[in-house]
Amino acid sequence: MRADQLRGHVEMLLMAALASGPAHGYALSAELKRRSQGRLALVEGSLYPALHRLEAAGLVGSSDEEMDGRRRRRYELTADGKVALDEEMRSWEQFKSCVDDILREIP
Amino acid sequence: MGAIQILRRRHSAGDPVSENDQISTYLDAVGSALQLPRPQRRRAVEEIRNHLDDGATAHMRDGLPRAQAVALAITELGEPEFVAAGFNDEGEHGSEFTGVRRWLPVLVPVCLFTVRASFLAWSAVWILDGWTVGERTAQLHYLLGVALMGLLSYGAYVSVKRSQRDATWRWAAWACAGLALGAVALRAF
Repeated sequence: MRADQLRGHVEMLLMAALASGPAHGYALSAELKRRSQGRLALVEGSLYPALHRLEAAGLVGSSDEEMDGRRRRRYELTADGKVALDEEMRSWEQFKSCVDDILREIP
Repeated sequence: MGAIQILRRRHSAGDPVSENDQISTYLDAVGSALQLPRPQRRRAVEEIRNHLDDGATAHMRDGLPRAQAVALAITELGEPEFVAAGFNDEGEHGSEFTGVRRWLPVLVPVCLFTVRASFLAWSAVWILDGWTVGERTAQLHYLLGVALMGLLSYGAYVSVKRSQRDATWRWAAWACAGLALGAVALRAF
């Protein structure tokens, strides 16, 4: 899967990964790889700006915690984030079924 | 030339590059390309450093020697310029939606609400001295003012929250502030 195909969907994928529970940036990236069975060509450097955007929008919260002598930032989905994820999933389903309908007609 | 290419070139030229050197070179390149206020820049660099450490540790668990594990973790993160550009875009985008400026439209109706609510509370003291027709009218005016400003404050608040996802809602927030000021200007409430 090409990275440009993910444009506009990274936030939804991150929220979906966070729906399982709070996680650090690397754990989120590993979770996305695991769920996509390695097919997702996500450039990991794009994760953090997306997480910060979600945080600025109030959809994701973050807190610092000390781990192995390092300060780590842990992200979690907020109540608004859960609502937004539901909306995104509905919208994605509609988009997917629309594209499927079009592709099905190819002779 | 990107930091990743420099590191590869030094490697292939037989120049021993320690893993810590690789990480420092990469982080320096990201840091210098970031155009963010210092606290945000520090946070971004710290997160990337942690990500690199986690990535390298995971690759070492998979059997790679540390130097290769670090190099792979760096490659997976992407070119420093690309990583920094993402943060810089987010800084520009975020400045529109975060901070005090974003809440300005809420401030107007909330201030007016507070003033009207204070008048209404003060008018309750009048009850002790009995009522006059004029006082009753004034109190009713305050009550209506509190209700209207409360409604507009709530409208502005909801609009600002929604504007974080859809910028067009900012117009609605400013419309609430405008209505609040308009009501005062017309001495309606």
